Formats: sequence, C-alpha cells, structure tokens
Amino acid sequence: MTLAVRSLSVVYPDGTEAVKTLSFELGRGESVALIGANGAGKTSLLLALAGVLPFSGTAEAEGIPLGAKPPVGASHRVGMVFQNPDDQLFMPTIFRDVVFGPRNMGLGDEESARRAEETLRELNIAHLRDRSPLKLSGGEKRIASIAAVLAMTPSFLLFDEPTAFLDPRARRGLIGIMKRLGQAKLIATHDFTFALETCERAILLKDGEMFAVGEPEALFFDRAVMEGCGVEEIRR
Amino acid sequence: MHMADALLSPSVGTTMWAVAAGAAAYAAKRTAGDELCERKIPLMGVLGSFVFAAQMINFTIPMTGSSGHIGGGILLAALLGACPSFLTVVVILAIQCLFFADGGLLALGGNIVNLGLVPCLVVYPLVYRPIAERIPSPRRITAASILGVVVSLQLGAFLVVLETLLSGVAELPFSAFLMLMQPIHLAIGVVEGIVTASILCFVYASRPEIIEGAASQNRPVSRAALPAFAAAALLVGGALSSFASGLPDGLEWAVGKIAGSPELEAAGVAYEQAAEIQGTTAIMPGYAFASEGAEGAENSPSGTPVAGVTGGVITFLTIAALGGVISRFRARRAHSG
Amino acid sequence: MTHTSNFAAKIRDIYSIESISSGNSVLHRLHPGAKITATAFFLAVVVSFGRYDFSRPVPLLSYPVLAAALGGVPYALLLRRFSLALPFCLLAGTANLYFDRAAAFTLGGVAVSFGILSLFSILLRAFLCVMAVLILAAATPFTHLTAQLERMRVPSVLITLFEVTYRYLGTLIDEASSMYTAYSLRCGGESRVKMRDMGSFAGQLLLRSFDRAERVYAAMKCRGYRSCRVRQERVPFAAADYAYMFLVCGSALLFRLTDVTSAVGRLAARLP
Repeated sequence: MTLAVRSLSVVYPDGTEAVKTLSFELGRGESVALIGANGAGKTSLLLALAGVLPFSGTAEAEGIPLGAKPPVGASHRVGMVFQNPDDQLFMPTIFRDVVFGPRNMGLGDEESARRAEETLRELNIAHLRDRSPLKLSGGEKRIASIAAVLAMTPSFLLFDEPTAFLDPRARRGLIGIMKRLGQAKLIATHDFTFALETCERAILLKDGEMFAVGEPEALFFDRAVMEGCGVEEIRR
Repeated sequence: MHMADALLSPSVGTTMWAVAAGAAAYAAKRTAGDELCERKIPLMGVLGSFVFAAQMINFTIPMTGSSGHIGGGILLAALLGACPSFLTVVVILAIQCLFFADGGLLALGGNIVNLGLVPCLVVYPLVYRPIAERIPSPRRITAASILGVVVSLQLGAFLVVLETLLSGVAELPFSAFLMLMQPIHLAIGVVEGIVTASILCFVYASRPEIIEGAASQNRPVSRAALPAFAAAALLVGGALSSFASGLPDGLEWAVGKIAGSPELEAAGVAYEQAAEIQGTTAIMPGYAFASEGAEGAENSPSGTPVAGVTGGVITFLTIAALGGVISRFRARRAHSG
Repeated sequence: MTHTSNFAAKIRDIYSIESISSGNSVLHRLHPGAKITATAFFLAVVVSFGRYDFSRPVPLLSYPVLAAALGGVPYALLLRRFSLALPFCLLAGTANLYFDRAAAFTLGGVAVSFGILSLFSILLRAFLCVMAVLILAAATPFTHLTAQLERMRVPSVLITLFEVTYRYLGTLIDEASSMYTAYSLRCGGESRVKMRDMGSFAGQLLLRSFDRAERVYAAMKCRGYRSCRVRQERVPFAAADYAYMFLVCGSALLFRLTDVTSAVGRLAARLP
C-alpha cells in the first residue's frame, strides 16, 4: 500500500503553522526517517496523519482518504507509536491495553482477545500479559506499546522517537523488531544511527517545511545540509 | 472526613448508597451525553490520579505548625464541571476505600454524598459558578474557591454528624459532636480554600485558556435536578429506614418464618447434644432481648459477660491458630510445588 | 516517617495489593460477583450487631483470617492497612468511653463500663469491615473487578474512568515525589511544602497532568476510542462460587443469630 501526502498543512488554534504544505509519498514496506530540530513539526505531522490533529491538504492510502473512519471490523490504516510509552499504555494491564484497539474496532471479545494474544506472542512478550505498565522496564514498555498498535493490524506505522527511554540493549532489540515489521513506516527520530540502520529514506524538516529528502547515508554526513536543517551531522 | 463502616447502621448505609448510586447514574448519563465527553474522560482520569497524588502532599500551615492537605472536590469541579468532577470523586473514593482502607465499603455511599455530591453537584453550581465563571479573574477565583470549599466542608461535616448519629453507634450527643466538627472544618475549609484558590490562580496565570475553556464548557446541572435529588433522597431514606431499622429483627423474623421458630429445630437423637447447646444459646439473655423489641437489644450487652470474655478469647485464639496452620501449609506447598 | 518515604510507601502499597491480586489461589479463581456479594453481606451483618456486642462478633473473625490464609494475603499487610483506618474509629469509640460511663458488669473486681464495651465493639467491627474489603481487593484482580462492575451495569463512563485513574496513580505519585525531592533539596533538606508554595507546586503538577491527559487522549483516539463500549458477556456462577457465598453468608448469619462465643466460654467453664 502506498501513502500519498499532498500539500498537508497543520495550523494550531492559536495560529501557529506547525506543518506547511508538505508533500511526499511512502512506498510499500518502505521505512522513512523524519528528521528535524525540536519544533520542526515532526510530531504535529505524525498526529495529523494519525487522525488526531485536523489538517488541510490530502493524505491518502491507495486513493482512500486517511481521515475517513474505517468501517466496523476493518483495520485502521495508520497506527501511531507515541514517544512516551506511559502515555500509550493507559490500561491497568498490558493485555487490557493490547485488547483495547481490537475491541474498539468492534471485533467482539473473543476475537479481540485472540488477536491480542497472538500479537503478544509474535513480539515475545506473552509473559508480560498480566503485568501493570508501572512495573515494566523502558524496553518492555516500548515493545508493549508497539504490540498495542500492531493488534489493530494497521497498514502504516508512525513512530515518534521510538528509541527515547531505551537503554542500548533495548535499543538493539527494537532495531531487530523494526526490521521484522513489514508495514511502511514513518519514523520521527533524533537517533541518526538508528535511522541509518532501519530506514531507506530520510525527510528533513525545518520550520514545518520540507528541507531535504534523500538517502540517510547521503544526508546524515553532510554538514551543510544537516546544519541548515538545524541539527548536527554525524561524524564518520 | 471519610466515614468507617463500623460507625454506620445498615439503614443509614444503604440509604446513602441509594442516593450516591442515583447521583452517579445521573452524572454518568450527563457526561456520556456531552459531545466533549470523549476528550474529557482521559482528563478526568488523569486529574483523578492528580488529586490522589496531591492529597499526599502535606503542607505546613503558618502560625500553627500543623499540616494540611487539599481535598479536591471544588478544584475538580472548577476544572471539569459538575457531573464529570463528581464521577472523578466517586472513583477516587472507591479506590481509597478498596485499596487503602480509607473509608468503608458500606460507608462509601455516604462518603460519596458528603465529599462528592455536596461540593460538585450542590456547592459548585450554586456558589462557585455564579462568582467565578462568568468573568474569571484571580480575585473572583479566590473568593469563589474559599467560599466554595468552606461551605462544602461545613455541609459535609454536618452530614457526617447526622449520619453518625442516626446510626446510633457512637454515643455522642448531637450538640457536642456538632460543636466539635463544625469549627474544625471551618478552619480546614479556609486553609484548603486558600490553597485551592492559589492553585487555580497559578493555572490561570500560566495557562488562562484552561480556566476560560472550563468556564465556557462546563455545563450547568439542570435546574430540576437538585430538588429532584433532595426529594428522591427523602423518599428513599424514609422507606429504607422504616424497613431496614428493624433489620436485625427482620433477619430473625425471616428465619422464624422459614424455620417455624427462631431456634432451628432438628429432629433425631444424634442432634440432641447440639440442640442443647443451641437451645442454651438461643435463649441467651442477649438474644431474648431481641423479642422484647429493638430498644432492648440495642442497649444491653449480650448475656453473661464472663462467658463472653472467656469465649471471645478462646474463639479468637482458635481462629488465629487455624489461620496460622493454613498459611504455613500453603507456604510449604508453594515451596515444594 | 520522612515525607519522601511517604510517597515511596504509598507506591509500594499500590504495588503490593496489585501483585497479590494477580495470584492464583482458590480465592482468586472465584467469580468476582460471588466475592462482592459475600463481602457486602458480611459487612451488613457486622454493622447490624448491637452497640454493646463485644463478644458475639468474635467468631466472624474466622472469615478474614481463613480467607486471607486461603488467598495468600499476608496478615502483616492487612494489619498495616488497618492501622491507617484506625484513628477515626478510635476517636469515636473513645468518645463513647467518656459519655457512656455506667457500669455494665464487674470482671475480676474491675468495673467495666458500657463505654468500654462499645469501644471494643466498635474496634472489633471496624477491624472486621476493613479486613473484609481489603481481602476482596487483594483476592480479585483489578480487571476482574471492572469486568464484574460492567456486568452489574455500572455506566461505562465510570468504568473507563476507574481504569485510567487506577492506571495513572503510580505515575502521578512518582511525579509528585520527584518534584518534592527537588523542592526539598532547595529548602535545605527534609521539610514540608510551605503553604504559600502550594499554589505553584501543585499547580505545576496539575499543568503537567493536563498535558499528559492530552497525550493519553491522542493515544486513545488513535486506537479507535469512542465513549461507548462493548458489553461484557454474562459469566455464570460455578458450584464453587455458590458454595463460597453459602459458606460465608450462612456462617455470618449463624454467628449473628446465635451467641457462639458465650457458649464456648460456658463450655470452657464446665471443663475441670
């Protein structure tokens, strides 16, 4: 499935233009990194695509607008993994959280439970089923929040700083998971080495506008481009 | 001000539960019907945990050296509106009751009324809103908060006195109890009101849109609701009290109807010994008082006190020993299993 | 107890009940509706005792003691919680001591007043009530509790609210705790928050809560959250559930109607 974004703009109620007429495409199974300084509009873009923030312009998946509510039982097109897993895991147990999405899709108790169990097993966290999010490590919470989104079988995945709150080991585990996920992904991140390992393309944002787009290998080591965008280049 | 089960009678407890449940059903319906409900629920939840956490922050009261903590009813009402804040308080009290033994389960209904219904559904619409919400300003917010909290606590404390006395467990003369509760809660109310005001003013100074948004979004409790509440409460209370006040006797009446007599009769030689003990206990003075009428049973201790004391000690030790044996057995099973 | 450790203790309290409630004892496996019914009945019986019944309620101790043992709930935890619930009852009971001084009987030469009897009775019954509720909470996983509430037709708004509030308790207390640590370090060590600082202290926590709530709302919305929920299916009671309710309610009723304690006492007096 391809995601096509045309002239997308996000304007907050107080007038701030967070995203200004952005246009890009996401190919089947493609992982694209979204790079930019704080305030560049990354999170706003993700929230708009996820259907939380209103936007002008168009965002379509295979010709169907993203904003429309999917029919009962149909998968949500877009799944978003938030920066802070604590905001995403809002149920008292991990299982309750993972089953939340399918239930809201109208799948019924049994089918939702089955999906949830399956997703937990796929991500190797079935043992965390009845645990409270309060007691999990950063890495466990991150995987649990991904499970909560995957249970809704989205076609596209949006990630907001997925390596935040992770120690090196958990980060390594996350890279493995990202590589196994077949969906197209848009990953907002400050972690350039992470982006290098997981993404085929990178979009650089500055003040809500597209600043540059290209291969991570080409962009991340280019000082002029990176500094122009407001971030630092990686040294080899 | 959380009431405990042991100080309530069944009739008062159930009456308050009925009122609380009715109010909660009403508030849930109003909240669910609000277009902004979707957005409000996570806010209600997080603010509920906020109040919980904030209640743990003890602050020093100048010139007294004692410490206080905030309540939260009026604070929540100012931020969420009448019905959503009431539901939030219901949840807070339920969690405190179940997991922290702060207030009894039977008393939960009463606590919901005293600490939730009063500030959120009565005082907020009648006191806070008229003062502070049409045109919010730090001065109005302060005045409304202090007045609102003081009135809520006075009313709440008064209800606690009423409920405790109607239950007849604590032997406190009405005037003495009142003289104790009201002034204390006046002082607490002033302090809490000031702190509530300063929190709301801080929020107003940093993010005025929160206060202004709340002011415009908070739907008023419907005019008809309050008198309807009061009437329903009186009706339910009256009916339940007349039925339930005889509850202990009611139980024995029911047993009598079923078994034919209060003492459970059993035929057969094998039961004779058991029957003898039962017979003794059944015609124990304390039990016999019940047939004299509620007055007698309520106001006299059961039977021979010495038997009671020794029996109590032996029973207690037996039960404790049994408990210890079972625990040890489980522990050993867990280790080996 | 220092103030910071207050927060830590509170979080520990939440965790401890939670970890016990995920156990797998006989008690845990019972239908939550059966446990709620039995507890409610038990409470009603306990509070129905007369004001001066100091010995008749004693056999009722068998319920919390045995249930705690069966459910693997540590007695120490229960007693610790009870100590927190004690003050108000103690206060009311002590008032009785003062106002109700007529002598009821003498025991070993000492006059026992009605006030003492009612104080003891209040404390005993308070203990029974608190224990019953704590055991209910400790032997019932939170999600079973909410599922049962749904079956009992509690409005879904309230249930979601219950879950979200419960979920974020620990998080908010954590935040408050670190804010407090930062505050006290700038006040030269352990001290309570000054009243004049409460506005900004609690206000900051409040603003952060608003922001968090926005993010949680976004996360919920992304997963299709709409206020209406799917109804829980009815789960029938099993034989064990009926047996449990019969046992608890039946014995509570028995102990209410017959004075087992005095019978035991008299039996003991008869022994040589």
